[in-house]
Amino acid sequence: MENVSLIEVLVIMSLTALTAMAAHWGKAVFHDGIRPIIPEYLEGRMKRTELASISFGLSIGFIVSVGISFAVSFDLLNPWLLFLPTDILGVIATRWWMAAALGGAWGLVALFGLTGVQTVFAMLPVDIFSALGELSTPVLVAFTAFPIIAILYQFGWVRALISGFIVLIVRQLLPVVGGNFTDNADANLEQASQLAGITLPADGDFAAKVNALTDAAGNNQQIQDLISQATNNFSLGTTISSFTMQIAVLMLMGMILLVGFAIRKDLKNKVAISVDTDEESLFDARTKRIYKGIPILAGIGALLAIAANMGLMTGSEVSGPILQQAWQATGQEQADLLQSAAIADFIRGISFIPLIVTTALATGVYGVVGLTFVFPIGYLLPNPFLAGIAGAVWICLEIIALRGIGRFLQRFPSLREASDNIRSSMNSMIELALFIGGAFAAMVMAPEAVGLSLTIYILLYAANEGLGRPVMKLAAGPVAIILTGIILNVLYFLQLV
Amino acid sequence: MLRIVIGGLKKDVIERSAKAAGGDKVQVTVTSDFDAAKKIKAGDADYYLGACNSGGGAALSVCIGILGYSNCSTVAKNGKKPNPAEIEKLVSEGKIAFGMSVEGIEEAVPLIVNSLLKKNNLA
Repeated sequence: MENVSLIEVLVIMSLTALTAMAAHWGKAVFHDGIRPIIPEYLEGRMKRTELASISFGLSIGFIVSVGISFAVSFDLLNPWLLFLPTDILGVIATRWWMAAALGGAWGLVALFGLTGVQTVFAMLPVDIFSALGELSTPVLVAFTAFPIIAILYQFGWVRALISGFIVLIVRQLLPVVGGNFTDNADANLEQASQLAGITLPADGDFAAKVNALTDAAGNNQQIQDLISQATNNFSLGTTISSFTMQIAVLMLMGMILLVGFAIRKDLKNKVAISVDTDEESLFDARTKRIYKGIPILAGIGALLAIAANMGLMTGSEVSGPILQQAWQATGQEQADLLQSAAIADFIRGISFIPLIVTTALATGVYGVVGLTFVFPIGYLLPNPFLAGIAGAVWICLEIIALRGIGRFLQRFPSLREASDNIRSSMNSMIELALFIGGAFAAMVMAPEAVGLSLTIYILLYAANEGLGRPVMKLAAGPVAIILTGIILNVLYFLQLV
Repeated sequence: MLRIVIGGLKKDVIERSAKAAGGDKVQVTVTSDFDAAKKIKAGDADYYLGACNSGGGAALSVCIGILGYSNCSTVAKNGKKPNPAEIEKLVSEGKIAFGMSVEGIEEAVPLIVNSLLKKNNLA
């Protein structure tokens, strides 16, 4: 992000200009709470100024505490920072071109504000940025636990305990399975070395052994086959036993258990689901209204996927810290981390489907980021061009599927409930993880004065609690650690550290 | 007896606070926001309580869609403490769905439940 290119400026500016226009026309807004109020305005029960002041009141806390602190902590733009303001700007603007101009201007401010903060931080004696990378490990670990906590909320401690056990066993089995493959790889190499008539260094690493063998193999087909078999086994083995793989598998296992419990419950007590005809016709009318927004929404979808692909943006609080690590890494490690980030956002997206779909169907106003799946699409695709096309197509598919998803959710009320519980538990786990991650970061920031930095961090966090949480809990960890970094720098300048 | 339905985030915390405040004068049902709003519309429940991060987002969005904006109100925004006088006023205005931030649940729910009991002459 250090050198912002013209392309990046254009992508972000067109994105925020479009989202402001979407908000202006009442086609889509980011804030879930503003969506249901839009029809009040469109149908003449509320004035534009009133709507604007409500949007401002609902959003400002999020923009300041979550939007800014996450952008600085993760070194990436995020939807709260970009789209909550464009909701407000779009609503304030009395003409569509004013909305576009204001939105575009905000994109510019956000992008250069973030780069400006980075430049200032880079000049400081105590390095805040690299310390903030410490936030990612606890977030990744916390992620494996959240489906289990959701099971605890919804189905009680017995099932949560059983699920916890299953997940732990699978976690311990993964390295065993992975170890099997790496053992096979070693056996392949051993065989190849016998054929080639060379002895391999016992403690050499895998790549070195392969290089030695490839040199010795020459044109011997059998040895070459063995080498390629070994390479395959080795990469499978390391992938399976890797940290990111463990997290992905555990999260999926937990989710499968949770969804399984929910569906079983609904199938067991088949309540007669009342189909309200008023509701049906309301939903149909609202769906048609969303269809009309497809062109602008597809454009936004394309730009979102491009921004995510270029490493400008994170989709959520859960993928942010993972992406931050990913964009600093290279090669296979980067691909693995991007995959984890995609899985994290994918599952977060699933938990938001019921909320976004039902509010969209009830109001005829869509979310500017849709069902949030355009972000994982952006992380995974190889280049911005493909990401853009896939993002646009995906948003169209989502909108076409809305009505069907709505009907499906009516049939399985426990799934709706599960999604509330996932969101509750994800919230609690990320709060906890960011708090612990902040403590890690405090220790990295001042290796010679760990006691001091931890004390400052904990005092700041506790002060927020004591003051009745003026900074919301989700952002309290990141805000406290950024302030700790700034205070440490001040103390350093005063030569007190 | 007041029939209260609960949706949104941290439903267990709301349920506990509502039961603690209302005792046997309230009947508390935990469900999803969508189902809760439909129950109220059908006359199977009297009041809705829900929480989300901001207090005005996911907590109320489905209720506003189904019950109408004028029946819903946010009582505790994030970063601000719930105000007893304001809650009293909203209850007397006849609001039936109340949204709050997850941080504000423990303070806001007893205030709302007590005001509701007073309004319905159950206190």
